[in-house]
Amino acid sequence: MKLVKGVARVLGGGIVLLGIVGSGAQAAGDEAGAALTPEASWALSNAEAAVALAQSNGVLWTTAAAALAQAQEAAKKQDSVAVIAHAATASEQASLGMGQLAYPLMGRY
Amino acid sequence: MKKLIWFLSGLGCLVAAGGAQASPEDDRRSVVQAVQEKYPNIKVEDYVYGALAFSPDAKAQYDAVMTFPPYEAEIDKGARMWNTPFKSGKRYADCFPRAGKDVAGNYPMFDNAAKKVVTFEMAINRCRTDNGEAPYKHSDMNTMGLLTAYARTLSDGMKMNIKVEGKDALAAYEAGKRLFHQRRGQLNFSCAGCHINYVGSVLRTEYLSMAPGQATHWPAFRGGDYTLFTLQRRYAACHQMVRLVPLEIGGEEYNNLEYYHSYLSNGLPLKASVFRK
Ligand code: HEC
Repeated sequence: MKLVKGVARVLGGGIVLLGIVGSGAQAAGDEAGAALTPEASWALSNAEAAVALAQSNGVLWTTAAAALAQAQEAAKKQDSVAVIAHAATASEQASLGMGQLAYPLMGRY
Repeated sequence: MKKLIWFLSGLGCLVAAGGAQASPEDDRRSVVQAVQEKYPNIKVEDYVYGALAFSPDAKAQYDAVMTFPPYEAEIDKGARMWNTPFKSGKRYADCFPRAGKDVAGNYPMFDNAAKKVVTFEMAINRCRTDNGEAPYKHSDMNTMGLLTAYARTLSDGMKMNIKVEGKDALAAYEAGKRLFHQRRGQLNFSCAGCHINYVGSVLRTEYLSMAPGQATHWPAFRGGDYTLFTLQRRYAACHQMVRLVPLEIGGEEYNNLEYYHSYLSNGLPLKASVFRK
């Protein structure tokens, strides 16, 4: 009986241990990670181009520049989900900045 | 019908007055008039005081600081730079008419040969390179900033005298005008929005100064630690305020902006190196 309990404990521990090792391996895989997903790389290069265009037209929002910086940071960590989110903000705001060029002028002159 | 035609023709005049056809002088008058309509009691000659014109307390503090400016030593540094001869043996004074007295109010001017706006800072750099010296960076307050803190005082009292003559000059002026009136940044505001439409309103703790007169008193020494700001550094700070990545100090866009913006101050006297909050 003692033996059975002991085996069960060892087995149980082993399963838990396997679980830990398994999830650890998974986490390590994410960090050292495979490259960004194609969607994330595409979103990032899109955002970089949009921000560069806005910058060269003098209409780049500080918030768009900051979002791009966050996307680039996330890319270094291979965090595709965060890359896509920040890149989307950067691209959207860069194009809103470009859109301001077509607004009617403001103020009397 | 007659009424309709009269109304439409009236509208036509309005559009023409606000449109691209207006001459720089029409633009300037119209902007000054917009400020006068809102604040009939503020004299146009007091526009050079900017936000201080709305606050007797702030003006009193300004007058006190200006009696013995605590940043006088900085202007002296600029004076030493101005008076030190180049390796060529020449000095800045040799590059300007009247040894640099009463010249700053002519800048920015349009150089028809180079087809671009030339600011006073560019003229100073041209003087340096003509004499075998490296140009200063326009954004460097410790060199260009300090130098102009003295050099511009040589034009104190001179009236702003910007000229826009010829097609290319007008194009540069119009580019500056667009930048002044176009909404920018995440806050979606233009220079004109704050300094014409909302002039005299309080933003955070500050009254918004009027566009005419704004170009007359640079550089300014700002805040409790009297940080030196050239005019274009101020542009950058205002752009930052509306969450726009500032444009290049000394770059063509700000130069064109300065051209238009300075034109709005035409006829008002210069006084460099003043105190501002
Ligand atoms: C969101 C409002 C806002 C916008 C937009 C803005 N400014 Fe300002 N600006 C300020 C405030 C606030 C100050 C400090 C108070 C003052 O002097 O008006 C200031 C100060 C200045 C001054 C210094 C005035 C002085 O007497 O010291 C200049 C020059 C100036 N702005 C130019 C510009 C230009 C050119 C633009 C467009 C590129 C611009 N501003 C856009 C709010 C704004």
